[in-house]
Amino acid sequence: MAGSLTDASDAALVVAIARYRDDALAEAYRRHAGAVFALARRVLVDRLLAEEVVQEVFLRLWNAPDKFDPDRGSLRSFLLAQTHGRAVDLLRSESSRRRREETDARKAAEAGYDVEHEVWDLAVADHVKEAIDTLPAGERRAIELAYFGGHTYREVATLLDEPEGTVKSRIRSGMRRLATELSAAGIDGGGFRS
Amino acid sequence: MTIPTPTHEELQELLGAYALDAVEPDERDVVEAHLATCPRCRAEVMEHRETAALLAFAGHDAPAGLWDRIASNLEEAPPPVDLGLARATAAGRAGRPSEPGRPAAPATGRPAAPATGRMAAPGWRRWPLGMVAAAAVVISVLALAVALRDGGGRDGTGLPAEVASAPRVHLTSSDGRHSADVVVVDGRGYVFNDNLPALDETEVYQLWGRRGTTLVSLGLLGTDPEQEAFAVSGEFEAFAITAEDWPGVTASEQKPIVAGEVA
Repeated sequence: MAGSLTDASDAALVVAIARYRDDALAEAYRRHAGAVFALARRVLVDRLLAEEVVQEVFLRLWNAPDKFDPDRGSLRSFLLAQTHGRAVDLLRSESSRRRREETDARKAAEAGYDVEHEVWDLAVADHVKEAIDTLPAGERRAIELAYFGGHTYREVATLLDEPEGTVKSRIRSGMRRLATELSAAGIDGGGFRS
Repeated sequence: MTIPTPTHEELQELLGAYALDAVEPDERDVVEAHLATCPRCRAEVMEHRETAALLAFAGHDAPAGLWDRIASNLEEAPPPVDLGLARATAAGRAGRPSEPGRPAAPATGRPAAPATGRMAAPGWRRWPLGMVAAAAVVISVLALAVALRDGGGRDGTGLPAEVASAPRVHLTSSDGRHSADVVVVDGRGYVFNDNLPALDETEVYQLWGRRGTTLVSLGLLGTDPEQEAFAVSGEFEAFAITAEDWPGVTASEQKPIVAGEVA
């Protein structure tokens, strides 16, 4: 780990973080903070809350690097899962209900709001968009409301006036379909795995 | 709300929603209990999360100034020790953070990740930083480990009979996943590895003893110790095991993988 951190794998960065190398955390931040912030902002809308989540996620990585297990996925997906979980917790908390109602109202008012507009990546954006295009509308909408809207599948069922079991199945089948399409395009979790 | 025990198929149907944090708390508990015993479902959740990560990526920069706020909240690391051996094996470990710029393109095709089984041991960060520097003065690799399994057996296990009845110092990681035991009998110590993961050949386990504010190296334990012996001079208040770059260091900058106080 004495070499350049910019060439280090994500897993090697986490090893260095466990050894108190703050420059390794800085490199992890450089690689992933943009995505972490974007997801937190997308779910919470509130910029300050999103910044708090970013700060919390990276401090958690610093304080407990052993929580990341490279055998269970990439650092990117780990950080984003942490981000999403924390953002959803905030969203579902009593204190933010009012904020959420306002957020939902704003989302409903946005014309053309859809998941495609949230995807931007120089390397994979086109493939991800194409994969999303293959999803039936019901699957796409269910995933969108659950992941970006922070709703439970039961809430999604209410919002879409669909049976809960149908929504649950659509989320799963949609995610699997996306994975298959992305894998066929040469993009799997390895898109961020290093 | 209480839900009846679901079938495996019903649990599988929940995995997509679970991976997106879209299940109720009681369902989450049920799924997580199942995941603990079902590698196939764990793999599916992992795949869903990787896919979600692709959807989530929006490629924007994090807000300016946010890194500074994070950096200012980092717990301070132990200072580097300017010694020949330490410099040779651990140079640059305490470098200042670089200023993050734009997020780099996703890394691909990198070599296989090294093991990251490092567990911060309880209380290690509370150990006085000064003891690290003090260790530089006391440096004393008292004994390279003598593998008991290779000889000197005094009973069926190769251990003196007193070891079985002597008090054990239990060394654990902060999450309890890793542990080892240390026993000291008549100026000789014995380390018993419960489940420390094997290191690759570029690293080595190193045993440390704490006496007051002094941290003393008690020797190297190899890359995959089982039961090892070491010489002990005087008494110690705590023991810890770190993973160091081969061939070990005179003063450690690492968090211990396991540590434990002498009762």
